[in-house]
Order: sequence, then structure tokens, then C-alpha cells
Amino acid sequence: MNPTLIAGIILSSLTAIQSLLPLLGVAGASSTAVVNIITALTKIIPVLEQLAPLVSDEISLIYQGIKNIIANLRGDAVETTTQQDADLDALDARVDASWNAIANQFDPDAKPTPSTGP
Amino acid sequence: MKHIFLIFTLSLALAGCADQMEKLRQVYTVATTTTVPAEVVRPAANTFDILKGTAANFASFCIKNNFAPVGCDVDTRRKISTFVREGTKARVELRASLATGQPALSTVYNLLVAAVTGLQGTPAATFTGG
Repeated sequence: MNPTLIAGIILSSLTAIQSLLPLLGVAGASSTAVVNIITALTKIIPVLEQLAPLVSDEISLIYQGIKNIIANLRGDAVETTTQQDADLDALDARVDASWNAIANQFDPDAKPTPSTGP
Repeated sequence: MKHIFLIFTLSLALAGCADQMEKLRQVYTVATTTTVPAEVVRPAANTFDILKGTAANFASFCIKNNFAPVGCDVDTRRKISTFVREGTKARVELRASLATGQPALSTVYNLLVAAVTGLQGTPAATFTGG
């Protein structure tokens, strides 16, 4: 199974999730469209669960992130908020480390790292 | 392979819903409330993190290829870096609020949503490994 294919699928899911964000906390949570999207995302999860062992750790972390997004949107009490926060802490740390490792080379406005020489 | 077709079908269905959501977005905005609850902040933070991870992969790809591929130009790199920087700042602030049991400010939440929306409009959002 091609991991890049899985990544593409996950990104498609994210496009839908991103559309929901401005609506959260307002009346949108009860709208039919929101419920339909959550239902569709929920159907994807079992398939991702089957594929998850085949792909990298990074994709597994993303999978957990999406799973928690759905749990939040549905108001599921399956996982405690403490566990969700712990998962999010792990994801925060992982992506921050990945970005920080390359930011200075990628960002055209990055300030040069001070020299540690004599 | 059967599963992959199923997923793509679902993805297309989601794309159709996304159009509807875009129309709704013009009506509802989070900024109408002063604060947002934790259950609103968590999915936004998760989504931002996933996009930031994808942006980091895209950045590595650009660096390895000496910034020659499409989307690795200075303007695009500046956009991606700015959204990542501002989104990270907002996410840190929001998570700190939650950690101390304080409600998160919607003004900060909207900055995070803006970063997510901004990143979605860059090549980093659709990067799948070069």
C-alpha cells in the first residue's frame, strides 16, 4: 500500500474538516450538513484503522488526530479529554520539531542562527 | 484496492458537502462570540498540526531539490512560513488557556482558523510526498 495515497486520502478528509471550523461553537453543530460530513468521516475511520499498521508512524499520528477531531465533533465520550489533550500534546511536539528542523532553510525571512564559534 | 475506491467515493461526497459548507461559512462566524470552548479549540488545533506536518514535509522536499520544484519559490515559501508561524503562535496561546482552565479567546481562535485556511490554499496542503 502506497503511503502517499493514504496521505492524499487524509488530506481530502481534512478539507471537509477545515470547512467546519468557522461553524463550531455556533448553530452549525446541529445543521444537517455538519452531521452528514461527520457521518462520512466516521465511515472512513474503520478503513484507516485497517491501513494504519501498513504506513509510517507519522501517518498513524495524523490518523489519531483525525479520530480525535471526529470524537470532538460528535461529542463522543469514548476517549477522555485528558487523553485527547495528551494526543494533541504529542502531535504538537512532533510537528513543531519537524518544522523547526527545516524552518531556517525554508523560510526566506528567517534570521540566521547566531554563530557559536569563538 | 476496493477500499481505496470506497475512500475516493467518500472523498468526492465530502467535496460536495464542502461546497455547501462554504456557503454556510458566509453566514456563521465564530467571531460573534467572545470565547470558544475547549471542544472547539481541539479539532482546530489538530487540523493545524496536521497541516503543519504536511508543510514540514513539503519544505524538506523543496530543500532537497534546491527549491527548483513548482511551489518552492520565495513568495510561496514566505506565505507558508507566515501561516505556520502565526498559526503556531495562536495554537500555543489557545492550548495554554485550556491548560489553565481559562476560556480561549475567539480572536485568537480566528487567527488559528485563518492559518488553517491560508495553509489549505498553498501547495503544502496537497503535498503527498513528491
